[in-house]
Amino acid sequence: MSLKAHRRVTREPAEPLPEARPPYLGFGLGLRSKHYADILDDDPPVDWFEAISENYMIPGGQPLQILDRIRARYPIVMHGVSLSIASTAPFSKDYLKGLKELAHRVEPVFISDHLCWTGVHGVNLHDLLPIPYTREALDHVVARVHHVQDYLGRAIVLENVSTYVRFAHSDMPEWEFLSELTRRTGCWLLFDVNNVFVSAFNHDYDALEFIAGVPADRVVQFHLAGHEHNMTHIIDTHDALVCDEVWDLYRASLERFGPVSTIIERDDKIPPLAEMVAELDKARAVAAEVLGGRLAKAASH
Amino acid sequence: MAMAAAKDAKKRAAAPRPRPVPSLGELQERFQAAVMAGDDAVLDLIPDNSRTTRTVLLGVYRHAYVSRLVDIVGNDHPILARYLGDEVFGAMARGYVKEHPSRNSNARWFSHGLPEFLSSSPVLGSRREVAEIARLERALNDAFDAADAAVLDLARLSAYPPERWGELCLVPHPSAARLDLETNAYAIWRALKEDGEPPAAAELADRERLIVWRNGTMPTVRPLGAEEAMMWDEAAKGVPFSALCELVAIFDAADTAALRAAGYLQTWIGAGMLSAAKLARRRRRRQI
Repeated sequence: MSLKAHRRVTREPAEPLPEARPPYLGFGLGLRSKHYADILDDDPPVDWFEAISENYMIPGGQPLQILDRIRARYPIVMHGVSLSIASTAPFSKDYLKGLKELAHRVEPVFISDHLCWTGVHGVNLHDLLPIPYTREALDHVVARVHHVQDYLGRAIVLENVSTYVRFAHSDMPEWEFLSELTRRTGCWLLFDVNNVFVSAFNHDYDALEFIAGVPADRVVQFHLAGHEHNMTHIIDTHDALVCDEVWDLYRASLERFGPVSTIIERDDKIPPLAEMVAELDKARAVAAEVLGGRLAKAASH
Repeated sequence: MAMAAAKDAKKRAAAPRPRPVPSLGELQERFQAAVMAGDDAVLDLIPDNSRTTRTVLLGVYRHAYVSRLVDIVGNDHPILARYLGDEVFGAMARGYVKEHPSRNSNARWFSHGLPEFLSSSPVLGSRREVAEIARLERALNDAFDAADAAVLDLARLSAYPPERWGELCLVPHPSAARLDLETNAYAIWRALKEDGEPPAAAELADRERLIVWRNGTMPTVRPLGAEEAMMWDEAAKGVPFSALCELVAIFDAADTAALRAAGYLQTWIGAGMLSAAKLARRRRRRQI
Protein backbone atom coordinates (compact mmCIF):
# COMPACT_ATOMS: atom_id res chain seq x y z
CA MET A 1 0.00 0.00 0.00
CA SER A 2 1.37 3.40 -0.88
CA LEU A 3 1.90 6.07 1.72
CA LYS A 4 -0.59 8.18 -0.13
CA ALA A 5 -3.19 5.48 0.20
CA HIS A 6 -2.34 5.10 3.87
CA ARG A 7 -2.90 8.79 4.53
CA ARG A 8 -6.34 8.58 3.07
CA VAL A 9 -7.38 6.49 6.06
CA THR A 10 -7.67 9.47 8.31
CA ARG A 11 -10.09 11.44 6.20
CA GLU A 12 -13.43 10.54 4.79
CA PRO A 13 -14.19 11.24 1.16
CA ALA A 14 -17.12 13.60 0.76
CA GLU A 15 -18.77 11.05 -1.51
CA PRO A 16 -17.62 7.44 -1.64
CA LEU A 17 -16.47 6.46 -5.10
CA PRO A 18 -19.35 4.82 -6.91
CA GLU A 19 -18.71 1.14 -7.39
CA ALA A 20 -20.80 -1.18 -9.50
CA ARG A 21 -23.18 -3.33 -7.54
CA PRO A 22 -21.87 -6.91 -7.30
CA PRO A 23 -23.73 -9.18 -9.70
CA TYR A 24 -26.64 -11.34 -8.67
CA LEU A 25 -25.33 -14.87 -8.05
CA GLY A 26 -28.45 -16.88 -7.36
CA PHE A 27 -28.59 -19.54 -4.64
CA GLY A 28 -25.42 -20.81 -2.99
CA LEU A 29 -24.05 -22.60 0.03
CA GLY A 30 -21.33 -22.01 2.56
CA LEU A 31 -18.34 -24.07 1.40
CA ARG A 32 -17.53 -26.73 4.00
CA SER A 33 -14.74 -29.33 3.88
CA LYS A 34 -17.22 -32.13 4.55
CA HIS A 35 -18.75 -31.47 1.13
CA TYR A 36 -15.54 -31.15 -0.91
CA ALA A 37 -15.67 -34.61 -2.45
CA ASP A 38 -19.37 -34.41 -3.36
CA ILE A 39 -18.92 -31.00 -4.93
CA LEU A 40 -15.99 -32.13 -7.05
CA ASP A 41 -17.53 -35.48 -7.98
CA ASP A 42 -21.12 -34.46 -8.63
CA ASP A 43 -21.19 -30.80 -9.68
CA PRO A 44 -24.24 -30.20 -7.47
CA PRO A 45 -26.92 -27.73 -8.59
CA VAL A 46 -25.58 -24.88 -6.47
CA ASP A 47 -25.04 -21.51 -8.16
CA TRP A 48 -22.10 -20.35 -6.06
CA PHE A 49 -20.17 -20.95 -2.85
CA GLU A 50 -19.17 -18.73 0.02
CA ALA A 51 -15.71 -19.68 1.35
CA ILE A 52 -14.58 -18.74 4.86
CA SER A 53 -11.51 -16.65 4.10
CA GLU A 54 -9.48 -17.76 7.13
CA ASN A 55 -9.81 -21.44 6.19
CA TYR A 56 -7.70 -20.69 3.15
CA MET A 57 -5.34 -18.10 4.61
CA ILE A 58 -2.79 -20.83 5.12
CA PRO A 59 0.58 -21.53 3.50
CA GLY A 60 -0.54 -24.31 1.14
CA GLY A 61 -1.83 -27.86 0.92
CA GLN A 62 -5.10 -29.52 0.06
CA PRO A 63 -7.63 -26.83 1.13
CA LEU A 64 -6.17 -24.30 -1.30
CA GLN A 65 -5.90 -26.86 -4.09
CA ILE A 66 -9.55 -27.81 -3.62
CA LEU A 67 -10.63 -24.19 -3.46
CA ASP A 68 -8.85 -23.60 -6.79
CA ARG A 69 -10.71 -26.54 -8.34
CA ILE A 70 -14.09 -25.41 -7.03
CA ARG A 71 -13.34 -21.86 -8.12
CA ALA A 72 -12.77 -23.15 -11.64
CA ARG A 73 -16.39 -24.36 -11.67
CA TYR A 74 -18.32 -21.97 -9.42
CA PRO A 75 -18.29 -18.28 -8.50
CA ILE A 76 -16.78 -17.80 -5.03
CA VAL A 77 -17.37 -15.12 -2.42
CA MET A 78 -14.79 -14.73 0.37
CA HIS A 79 -16.41 -14.40 3.79
CA GLY A 80 -14.13 -13.53 6.68
CA VAL A 81 -14.56 -13.75 10.44
CA SER A 82 -11.46 -11.95 11.71
CA LEU A 83 -11.33 -8.55 10.03
CA SER A 84 -12.49 -7.04 13.33
CA ILE A 85 -13.65 -3.93 11.54
CA ALA A 86 -15.04 -2.31 14.71
CA SER A 87 -12.10 -3.02 17.00
CA THR A 88 -10.20 -0.14 18.52
CA ALA A 89 -7.02 -2.18 18.16
CA PRO A 90 -4.88 -1.53 15.08
CA PHE A 91 -5.50 -3.77 12.10
CA SER A 92 -3.29 -6.81 11.79
CA LYS A 93 -1.11 -6.02 8.78
CA ASP A 94 -0.44 -9.72 8.31
CA TYR A 95 -4.15 -10.43 8.23
CA LEU A 96 -4.91 -7.75 5.64
CA LYS A 97 -1.96 -8.89 3.55
CA GLY A 98 -3.12 -12.49 3.70
CA LEU A 99 -6.65 -11.46 2.78
CA LYS A 100 -5.42 -9.51 -0.22
CA GLU A 101 -3.20 -12.37 -1.36
CA LEU A 102 -6.07 -14.83 -1.11
CA ALA A 103 -8.32 -12.47 -3.05
CA HIS A 104 -5.66 -12.24 -5.75
CA ARG A 105 -5.66 -16.03 -6.00
CA VAL A 106 -9.41 -16.64 -5.77
CA GLU A 107 -10.71 -13.57 -7.61
CA PRO A 108 -13.89 -13.62 -5.52
CA VAL A 109 -17.04 -11.89 -6.68
CA PHE A 110 -16.78 -9.89 -3.45
CA ILE A 111 -15.21 -9.98 0.00
CA SER A 112 -17.36 -9.85 3.10
CA ASP A 113 -16.94 -9.86 6.87
CA HIS A 114 -18.99 -8.83 9.89
CA LEU A 115 -19.90 -5.58 11.60
CA CYS A 116 -18.27 -6.51 14.89
CA TRP A 117 -14.96 -6.70 16.69
CA THR A 118 -13.05 -9.80 17.74
CA GLY A 119 -10.63 -8.52 20.37
CA VAL A 120 -8.29 -5.80 21.58
CA HIS A 121 -4.74 -5.73 22.97
CA GLY A 122 -3.50 -8.29 20.50
CA VAL A 123 -6.00 -10.91 21.62
CA ASN A 124 -8.54 -12.57 19.35
CA LEU A 125 -11.60 -14.07 21.01
CA HIS A 126 -12.64 -15.67 17.73
CA ASP A 127 -16.17 -14.43 18.26
CA LEU A 128 -18.28 -11.77 16.58
CA LEU A 129 -18.62 -9.28 19.42
CA PRO A 130 -21.28 -6.54 19.71
CA ILE A 131 -20.73 -2.82 19.38
CA PRO A 132 -22.66 0.13 20.77
CA TYR A 133 -24.56 1.92 18.04
CA THR A 134 -23.18 5.38 18.75
CA ARG A 135 -21.87 8.27 16.67
CA GLU A 136 -18.40 7.59 18.06
CA ALA A 137 -18.50 3.94 16.99
CA LEU A 138 -19.89 4.90 13.60
CA ASP A 139 -17.10 7.41 12.94
CA HIS A 140 -14.56 4.79 14.02
CA VAL A 141 -15.95 2.04 11.82
CA VAL A 142 -16.34 4.38 8.85
CA ALA A 143 -12.62 5.26 9.04
CA ARG A 144 -11.70 1.57 9.30
CA VAL A 145 -13.89 0.58 6.34
CA HIS A 146 -12.19 3.28 4.27
CA HIS A 147 -8.82 1.89 5.31
CA VAL A 148 -9.71 -1.67 4.29
CA GLN A 149 -11.32 -0.60 1.04
CA ASP A 150 -8.29 1.52 0.16
CA TYR A 151 -5.99 -1.40 0.91
CA LEU A 152 -8.00 -4.01 -0.94
CA GLY A 153 -8.85 -1.66 -3.78
CA ARG A 154 -12.52 -2.62 -3.69
CA ALA A 155 -15.69 -2.02 -1.70
CA ILE A 156 -16.28 -4.63 0.99
CA VAL A 157 -19.53 -6.20 2.16
CA LEU A 158 -20.45 -6.18 5.86
CA GLU A 159 -22.88 -8.47 7.66
CA ASN A 160 -25.12 -7.74 10.62
CA VAL A 161 -24.28 -10.18 13.41
CA SER A 162 -26.45 -11.92 15.99
CA THR A 163 -26.09 -10.22 19.33
CA TYR A 164 -27.06 -11.26 22.84
CA VAL A 165 -26.45 -8.00 24.66
CA ARG A 166 -27.01 -4.40 23.71
CA PHE A 167 -25.48 -1.32 25.21
CA ALA A 168 -27.68 1.16 27.02
CA HIS A 169 -25.84 4.18 25.63
CA SER A 170 -26.49 3.26 21.98
CA ASP A 171 -28.06 6.31 20.39
CA MET A 172 -29.43 4.76 17.21
CA PRO A 173 -30.88 1.41 16.16
CA GLU A 174 -28.66 -1.11 14.39
CA TRP A 175 -30.33 -0.53 11.02
CA GLU A 176 -29.65 3.19 11.20
CA PHE A 177 -26.00 2.45 11.99
CA LEU A 178 -25.78 0.13 8.98
CA SER A 179 -27.51 2.65 6.75
CA GLU A 180 -25.13 5.42 7.74
CA LEU A 181 -22.15 3.12 7.38
CA THR A 182 -23.01 2.12 3.83
CA ARG A 183 -23.88 5.71 2.91
CA ARG A 184 -20.58 7.09 4.19
CA THR A 185 -18.27 4.35 2.93
CA GLY A 186 -19.90 2.82 -0.11
CA CYS A 187 -19.63 -0.62 1.46
CA TRP A 188 -22.38 -3.12 0.65
CA LEU A 189 -24.48 -5.09 3.10
CA LEU A 190 -24.81 -8.78 3.71
CA PHE A 191 -28.22 -9.11 5.30
CA ASP A 192 -28.31 -12.15 7.56
CA VAL A 193 -32.01 -12.83 7.94
CA ASN A 194 -31.49 -15.28 10.79
CA ASN A 195 -29.29 -12.80 12.65
CA VAL A 196 -32.01 -10.17 12.37
CA PHE A 197 -34.49 -12.65 13.82
CA VAL A 198 -32.11 -13.59 16.66
CA SER A 199 -31.17 -10.01 17.57
CA ALA A 200 -34.77 -8.77 17.31
CA PHE A 201 -35.91 -11.43 19.77
CA ASN A 202 -32.97 -10.89 22.12
CA HIS A 203 -33.45 -7.12 22.18
CA ASP A 204 -37.22 -6.86 22.00
CA TYR A 205 -37.69 -5.09 18.70
CA ASP A 206 -39.64 -5.87 15.56
CA ALA A 207 -37.54 -7.59 12.89
CA LEU A 208 -39.71 -6.00 10.22
CA GLU A 209 -38.58 -2.59 11.45
CA PHE A 210 -34.99 -3.68 10.79
CA ILE A 211 -35.88 -4.80 7.29
CA ALA A 212 -37.66 -1.52 6.61
CA GLY A 213 -34.76 0.50 8.00
CA VAL A 214 -31.98 -0.77 5.76
CA PRO A 215 -31.48 0.91 2.37
CA ALA A 216 -32.86 -1.49 -0.20
CA ASP A 217 -30.26 -0.78 -2.85
CA ARG A 218 -27.26 -1.67 -0.65
CA VAL A 219 -28.07 -5.27 0.22
CA VAL A 220 -26.17 -7.68 -2.03
CA GLN A 221 -26.44 -10.95 -0.13
CA PHE A 222 -28.73 -12.84 2.21
CA HIS A 223 -27.72 -15.44 4.76
CA LEU A 224 -30.20 -18.02 5.97
CA ALA A 225 -29.39 -20.28 8.93
CA GLY A 226 -30.77 -22.07 11.95
CA HIS A 227 -30.48 -21.26 15.64
CA GLU A 228 -31.17 -22.51 19.16
CA HIS A 229 -34.20 -21.05 20.90
CA ASN A 230 -33.88 -20.89 24.69
CA MET A 231 -37.22 -19.11 25.20
CA THR A 232 -35.59 -16.20 27.09
CA HIS A 233 -33.03 -15.64 24.35
CA ILE A 234 -31.93 -17.16 21.06
CA ILE A 235 -28.42 -18.37 20.32
CA ASP A 236 -27.21 -18.22 16.75
CA THR A 237 -25.76 -21.71 16.43
CA HIS A 238 -25.93 -22.19 12.67
CA ASP A 239 -26.48 -25.87 13.34
CA ALA A 240 -30.10 -26.46 12.37
CA LEU A 241 -32.63 -26.08 9.60
CA VAL A 242 -33.96 -22.62 8.85
CA CYS A 243 -37.09 -22.23 10.99
CA ASP A 244 -40.52 -21.10 9.78
CA GLU A 245 -40.24 -17.62 11.31
CA VAL A 246 -36.96 -17.01 9.47
CA TRP A 247 -38.51 -18.22 6.22
CA ASP A 248 -41.25 -15.62 6.82
CA LEU A 249 -38.63 -12.94 7.36
CA TYR A 250 -36.89 -14.10 4.19
CA ARG A 251 -40.16 -13.50 2.33
CA ALA A 252 -40.38 -10.03 3.83
CA SER A 253 -36.74 -9.37 2.93
CA LEU A 254 -37.30 -10.45 -0.66
CA GLU A 255 -40.30 -8.17 -0.89
CA ARG A 256 -38.22 -5.22 0.27
CA PHE A 257 -34.81 -5.96 -1.31
CA GLY A 258 -35.84 -7.88 -4.43
CA PRO A 259 -33.63 -10.59 -5.95
CA VAL A 260 -30.54 -10.85 -3.75
CA SER A 261 -27.83 -13.55 -3.86
CA THR A 262 -28.69 -16.02 -1.11
CA ILE A 263 -26.85 -18.75 0.74
CA ILE A 264 -27.70 -21.19 3.47
CA GLU A 265 -25.02 -21.29 6.15
CA ARG A 266 -24.35 -24.31 8.34
CA ASP A 267 -21.38 -24.29 10.69
CA ASP A 268 -22.07 -27.25 12.94
CA LYS A 269 -23.94 -30.58 12.70
CA ILE A 270 -23.35 -30.27 8.97
CA PRO A 271 -25.61 -32.66 7.05
CA PRO A 272 -24.77 -34.38 3.74
CA LEU A 273 -24.60 -32.05 0.76
CA ALA A 274 -27.85 -33.41 -0.68
CA GLU A 275 -29.75 -32.20 2.40
CA MET A 276 -28.21 -28.74 2.08
CA VAL A 277 -29.14 -28.65 -1.59
CA ALA A 278 -32.71 -29.63 -0.68
CA GLU A 279 -32.93 -26.78 1.82
CA LEU A 280 -31.50 -24.46 -0.81
CA ASP A 281 -34.24 -25.57 -3.17
CA LYS A 282 -36.72 -24.36 -0.59
CA ALA A 283 -35.04 -20.94 -0.69
CA ARG A 284 -35.35 -20.98 -4.48
CA ALA A 285 -39.03 -21.85 -4.21
CA VAL A 286 -39.73 -19.14 -1.65
CA ALA A 287 -37.94 -16.55 -3.78
CA ALA A 288 -39.80 -17.66 -6.90
CA GLU A 289 -43.09 -17.43 -5.04
CA VAL A 290 -42.37 -13.91 -3.75
CA LEU A 291 -40.57 -12.46 -6.77
CA GLY A 292 -42.06 -14.31 -9.70
CA GLY A 293 -40.61 -13.04 -12.98
CA ARG A 294 -38.20 -10.64 -11.26
CA LEU A 295 -36.15 -13.64 -10.11
CA ALA A 296 -35.79 -15.09 -13.58
CA LYS A 297 -34.89 -11.65 -14.92
CA ALA A 298 -32.15 -11.21 -12.29
CA ALA A 299 -30.77 -14.67 -13.03
CA SER A 300 -30.60 -13.97 -16.76
CA HIS A 301 -28.44 -10.84 -16.32
CA MET B 1 -34.00 31.05 49.12
CA ALA B 2 -32.14 28.76 51.45
CA MET B 3 -35.09 26.36 51.55
CA ALA B 4 -35.38 26.37 47.73
CA ALA B 5 -31.67 25.63 47.40
CA ALA B 6 -31.98 22.77 49.84
CA LYS B 7 -34.94 21.39 47.90
CA ASP B 8 -32.95 21.57 44.66
CA ALA B 9 -30.04 19.81 46.29
CA LYS B 10 -32.39 17.07 47.57
CA LYS B 11 -33.90 16.71 44.12
CA ARG B 12 -30.48 16.34 42.55
CA ALA B 13 -29.50 13.73 45.10
CA ALA B 14 -32.66 11.73 44.44
CA ALA B 15 -32.24 11.71 40.65
CA PRO B 16 -30.39 8.68 39.28
CA ARG B 17 -26.83 9.57 38.51
CA PRO B 18 -26.15 9.36 34.81
CA ARG B 19 -23.83 6.50 34.03
CA PRO B 20 -20.53 7.64 32.65
CA VAL B 21 -20.43 6.60 29.01
CA PRO B 22 -17.20 4.81 28.22
CA SER B 23 -15.32 5.36 25.01
CA LEU B 24 -15.52 2.57 22.46
CA GLY B 25 -12.01 1.49 23.45
CA GLU B 26 -12.89 1.38 27.16
CA LEU B 27 -16.04 -0.57 26.40
CA GLN B 28 -14.11 -3.14 24.38
CA GLU B 29 -11.52 -3.54 27.13
CA ARG B 30 -14.26 -4.09 29.70
CA PHE B 31 -16.17 -6.48 27.47
CA GLN B 32 -13.07 -8.52 26.74
CA ALA B 33 -12.24 -8.70 30.45
CA ALA B 34 -15.82 -9.79 31.11
CA VAL B 35 -15.64 -12.62 28.60
CA MET B 36 -12.13 -13.82 29.32
CA ALA B 37 -11.73 -13.16 33.02
CA GLY B 38 -15.27 -13.01 34.41
CA ASP B 39 -15.03 -9.30 35.21
CA ASP B 40 -18.58 -7.93 35.70
CA ALA B 41 -17.88 -4.21 35.22
CA VAL B 42 -19.35 -4.21 31.71
CA LEU B 43 -22.74 -5.27 33.10
CA ASP B 44 -23.33 -1.61 34.07
CA LEU B 45 -23.63 -0.84 30.36
CA ILE B 46 -25.99 -3.68 29.44
CA PRO B 47 -29.74 -3.71 30.09
CA ASP B 48 -31.76 -6.85 30.78
CA ASN B 49 -34.06 -7.95 28.00
CA SER B 50 -37.77 -8.44 28.68
CA ARG B 51 -37.29 -12.12 29.56
CA THR B 52 -33.94 -12.54 31.23
CA THR B 53 -31.06 -10.80 32.91
CA ARG B 54 -28.00 -9.13 31.47
CA THR B 55 -25.90 -11.71 33.31
CA VAL B 56 -27.55 -14.54 31.40
CA LEU B 57 -27.17 -12.67 28.12
CA LEU B 58 -23.50 -11.85 28.71
CA GLY B 59 -23.06 -15.48 29.73
CA VAL B 60 -23.71 -16.51 26.12
CA TYR B 61 -20.44 -14.83 25.12
CA ARG B 62 -18.58 -16.19 28.13
CA HIS B 63 -19.66 -19.74 27.44
CA ALA B 64 -19.10 -19.50 23.69
CA TYR B 65 -15.59 -18.16 24.15
CA VAL B 66 -14.39 -21.14 26.13
CA SER B 67 -16.35 -23.83 24.29
CA ARG B 68 -15.32 -22.61 20.84
CA LEU B 69 -11.62 -22.64 21.70
CA VAL B 70 -11.86 -25.96 23.53
CA ASP B 71 -13.46 -27.38 20.38
CA ILE B 72 -10.57 -26.06 18.30
CA VAL B 73 -8.05 -27.77 20.59
CA GLY B 74 -10.07 -30.99 20.28
CA ASN B 75 -10.31 -30.79 16.51
CA ASP B 76 -6.56 -30.24 16.25
CA HIS B 77 -5.75 -33.05 18.69
CA PRO B 78 -8.31 -35.83 18.23
CA ILE B 79 -5.95 -38.64 19.23
CA LEU B 80 -4.82 -36.86 22.38
CA ALA B 81 -8.48 -36.28 23.23
CA ARG B 82 -9.14 -39.99 22.85
CA TYR B 83 -6.07 -40.88 24.89
CA LEU B 84 -6.93 -38.63 27.82
CA GLY B 85 -10.71 -39.10 27.75
CA ASP B 86 -13.34 -36.37 27.67
CA GLU B 87 -13.04 -35.26 31.26
CA VAL B 88 -9.26 -34.94 31.51
CA PHE B 89 -8.94 -33.53 28.00
CA GLY B 90 -11.71 -30.99 28.62
CA ALA B 91 -10.12 -29.77 31.85
CA MET B 92 -6.73 -29.60 30.16
CA ALA B 93 -8.10 -27.69 27.16
CA ARG B 94 -9.94 -25.22 29.40
CA GLY B 95 -6.68 -24.64 31.25
CA TYR B 96 -4.93 -24.00 27.95
CA VAL B 97 -7.63 -21.55 26.87
CA LYS B 98 -7.25 -19.69 30.16
CA GLU B 99 -3.45 -19.46 30.00
CA HIS B 100 -3.01 -18.97 26.26
CA PRO B 101 -5.35 -16.32 24.83
CA SER B 102 -5.34 -16.47 21.05
CA ARG B 103 -2.99 -13.91 19.56
CA ASN B 104 -3.50 -14.85 15.93
CA SER B 105 -6.26 -13.64 13.63
CA ASN B 106 -6.60 -17.17 12.40
CA ALA B 107 -7.83 -19.82 14.84
CA ARG B 108 -5.87 -22.36 12.80
CA TRP B 109 -2.85 -21.66 15.01
CA PHE B 110 -4.62 -21.39 18.35
CA SER B 111 -3.50 -24.77 19.66
CA HIS B 112 0.08 -24.42 18.45
CA GLY B 113 1.46 -23.92 21.95
CA LEU B 114 -0.23 -27.00 23.39
CA PRO B 115 2.84 -29.32 23.53
CA GLU B 116 4.83 -26.75 25.53
CA PHE B 117 1.82 -26.08 27.77
CA LEU B 118 1.55 -29.81 28.46
CA SER B 119 5.28 -30.19 29.15
CA SER B 120 5.06 -27.56 31.86
CA SER B 121 1.67 -28.64 33.19
CA PRO B 122 1.70 -29.49 36.90
CA VAL B 123 -1.00 -32.10 36.24
CA LEU B 124 0.14 -33.74 33.01
CA GLY B 125 3.78 -32.66 32.77
CA SER B 126 4.99 -35.82 34.47
CA ARG B 127 3.23 -37.93 31.82
CA ARG B 128 5.74 -37.14 29.12
CA GLU B 129 3.93 -39.13 26.46
CA VAL B 130 1.04 -36.64 26.61
CA ALA B 131 3.08 -33.68 25.34
CA GLU B 132 4.77 -35.93 22.79
CA ILE B 133 1.43 -37.07 21.34
CA ALA B 134 0.53 -33.37 21.07
CA ARG B 135 3.86 -32.68 19.31
CA LEU B 136 3.15 -35.40 16.79
CA GLU B 137 -0.36 -34.13 16.09
CA ARG B 138 0.93 -30.56 15.75
CA ALA B 139 3.55 -31.72 13.24
CA LEU B 140 0.88 -33.54 11.23
CA ASN B 141 -1.40 -30.48 11.29
CA ASP B 142 1.48 -28.29 10.15
CA ALA B 143 2.35 -30.69 7.35
CA PHE B 144 -1.24 -30.67 6.12
CA ASP B 145 -1.24 -27.00 5.14
CA ALA B 146 2.50 -26.29 4.87
CA ALA B 147 3.67 -24.27 1.90
CA ASP B 148 3.41 -25.88 -1.51
CA ALA B 149 6.62 -26.68 -3.35
CA ALA B 150 7.81 -28.75 -6.25
CA VAL B 151 8.45 -32.41 -5.45
CA LEU B 152 11.79 -33.79 -6.59
CA ASP B 153 11.49 -36.89 -8.74
CA LEU B 154 14.05 -39.25 -10.20
CA ALA B 155 13.63 -37.85 -13.71
CA ARG B 156 14.65 -34.40 -12.52
CA LEU B 157 17.55 -35.82 -10.52
CA SER B 158 18.80 -37.77 -13.52
CA ALA B 159 19.23 -34.49 -15.38
CA TYR B 160 22.54 -34.32 -13.51
CA PRO B 161 25.37 -36.56 -14.70
CA PRO B 162 26.11 -39.23 -12.09
CA GLU B 163 29.62 -37.90 -11.55
CA ARG B 164 28.12 -34.69 -10.14
CA TRP B 165 25.66 -36.30 -7.75
CA GLY B 166 28.18 -36.00 -4.95
CA GLU B 167 27.89 -32.21 -5.19
CA LEU B 168 24.13 -32.21 -4.83
CA CYS B 169 22.51 -30.66 -1.77
CA LEU B 170 19.01 -31.94 -1.04
CA VAL B 171 16.20 -29.57 -0.16
CA PRO B 172 13.49 -31.01 2.13
CA HIS B 173 9.89 -30.36 1.20
CA PRO B 174 8.56 -27.43 3.29
CA SER B 175 6.14 -29.81 5.00
CA ALA B 176 8.90 -32.09 6.32
CA ALA B 177 9.72 -32.02 10.03
CA ARG B 178 11.75 -34.35 12.25
CA LEU B 179 10.70 -35.34 15.73
CA ASP B 180 12.63 -37.25 18.36
CA LEU B 181 10.40 -38.78 21.01
CA GLU B 182 11.60 -40.16 24.30
CA THR B 183 8.44 -42.09 25.10
CA ASN B 184 6.31 -44.56 23.18
CA ALA B 185 3.94 -41.73 22.20
CA TYR B 186 4.11 -42.81 18.56
CA ALA B 187 2.98 -46.36 19.41
CA ILE B 188 0.15 -44.93 21.51
CA TRP B 189 -0.85 -42.53 18.73
CA ARG B 190 -0.75 -45.28 16.09
CA ALA B 191 -2.84 -47.71 18.16
CA LEU B 192 -5.51 -45.10 18.83
CA LYS B 193 -5.46 -43.96 15.21
CA GLU B 194 -6.30 -47.51 14.21
CA ASP B 195 -9.01 -47.75 16.88
CA GLY B 196 -6.89 -50.16 18.88
CA GLU B 197 -5.97 -50.39 22.53
CA PRO B 198 -2.94 -48.18 23.23
CA PRO B 199 0.05 -49.68 25.03
CA ALA B 200 0.88 -48.48 28.51
CA ALA B 201 2.99 -45.33 28.44
CA ALA B 202 6.69 -46.00 28.71
CA GLU B 203 10.03 -44.24 28.45
CA LEU B 204 12.14 -45.60 25.60
CA ALA B 205 15.73 -46.82 25.98
CA ASP B 206 16.54 -45.23 22.64
CA ARG B 207 14.58 -42.32 21.27
CA GLU B 208 11.95 -42.75 18.53
CA ARG B 209 13.03 -40.89 15.43
CA LEU B 210 10.11 -39.75 13.28
CA ILE B 211 9.75 -37.86 10.07
CA VAL B 212 6.48 -36.08 9.28
CA TRP B 213 5.70 -34.68 5.86
CA ARG B 214 2.91 -34.27 3.34
CA ASN B 215 2.84 -37.03 0.77
CA GLY B 216 0.67 -35.63 -1.99
CA THR B 217 -2.05 -34.05 0.11
CA MET B 218 -1.89 -36.44 3.05
CA PRO B 219 0.13 -35.73 6.20
CA THR B 220 2.30 -38.79 6.81
CA VAL B 221 4.52 -40.02 9.62
CA ARG B 222 7.21 -42.69 9.45
CA PRO B 223 9.79 -43.92 11.97
CA LEU B 224 13.40 -43.66 10.85
CA GLY B 225 16.35 -45.82 11.80
CA ALA B 226 19.21 -44.04 13.52
CA GLU B 227 21.33 -43.95 10.38
CA GLU B 228 18.61 -42.65 8.08
CA ALA B 229 17.63 -40.01 10.65
CA MET B 230 21.25 -38.88 10.90
CA MET B 231 21.55 -38.63 7.14
CA TRP B 232 18.27 -36.71 6.86
CA ASP B 233 19.27 -34.26 9.57
CA GLU B 234 22.61 -33.60 7.86
CA ALA B 235 21.01 -33.32 4.44
CA ALA B 236 18.55 -30.79 5.82
CA LYS B 237 21.53 -28.65 6.89
CA GLY B 238 22.70 -28.53 3.24
CA VAL B 239 25.49 -31.12 3.50
CA PRO B 240 26.22 -32.37 -0.05
CA PHE B 241 25.51 -35.96 -1.00
CA SER B 242 29.18 -37.07 -1.11
CA ALA B 243 29.66 -35.88 2.48
CA LEU B 244 26.42 -37.62 3.46
CA CYS B 245 27.85 -40.85 2.09
CA GLU B 246 30.98 -40.35 4.18
CA LEU B 247 28.86 -39.81 7.30
CA VAL B 248 26.90 -42.96 6.54
CA ALA B 249 30.19 -44.80 6.12
CA ILE B 250 31.26 -43.70 9.58
CA PHE B 251 27.91 -44.68 11.02
CA ASP B 252 28.06 -48.31 9.84
CA ALA B 253 29.77 -50.61 7.33
CA ALA B 254 31.82 -48.44 5.00
CA ASP B 255 31.77 -50.75 2.00
CA THR B 256 27.99 -50.52 1.56
CA ALA B 257 27.63 -46.90 2.68
CA ALA B 258 27.07 -45.41 -0.79
CA LEU B 259 24.46 -48.03 -1.54
CA ARG B 260 22.66 -47.36 1.74
CA ALA B 261 22.78 -43.59 1.20
CA ALA B 262 21.45 -44.01 -2.33
CA GLY B 263 18.68 -46.23 -0.96
CA TYR B 264 17.59 -43.59 1.55
CA LEU B 265 17.65 -40.95 -1.16
CA GLN B 266 15.51 -43.10 -3.42
CA THR B 267 13.02 -43.63 -0.60
CA TRP B 268 12.82 -39.92 0.13
CA ILE B 269 12.30 -39.08 -3.52
CA GLY B 270 9.66 -41.78 -3.92
CA ALA B 271 7.76 -40.49 -0.89
CA GLY B 272 7.86 -36.85 -1.95
CA MET B 273 9.99 -35.76 1.00
CA LEU B 274 12.31 -33.57 -1.08
CA SER B 275 11.51 -30.54 -3.17
CA ALA B 276 14.80 -29.96 -4.98
CA ALA B 277 18.47 -30.82 -5.36
CA LYS B 278 21.00 -28.09 -5.90
CA LEU B 279 24.63 -28.20 -6.92
CA ALA B 280 26.65 -27.08 -3.94
CA ARG B 281 29.97 -25.85 -5.20
CA ARG B 282 29.04 -23.40 -7.89
CA ARG B 283 28.61 -19.74 -7.22
CA ARG B 284 25.43 -19.70 -9.25
CA ARG B 285 23.48 -22.65 -7.99
CA ARG B 286 21.39 -24.46 -10.45
CA GLN B 287 18.10 -25.77 -9.16
CA ILE B 288 16.23 -28.63 -10.72
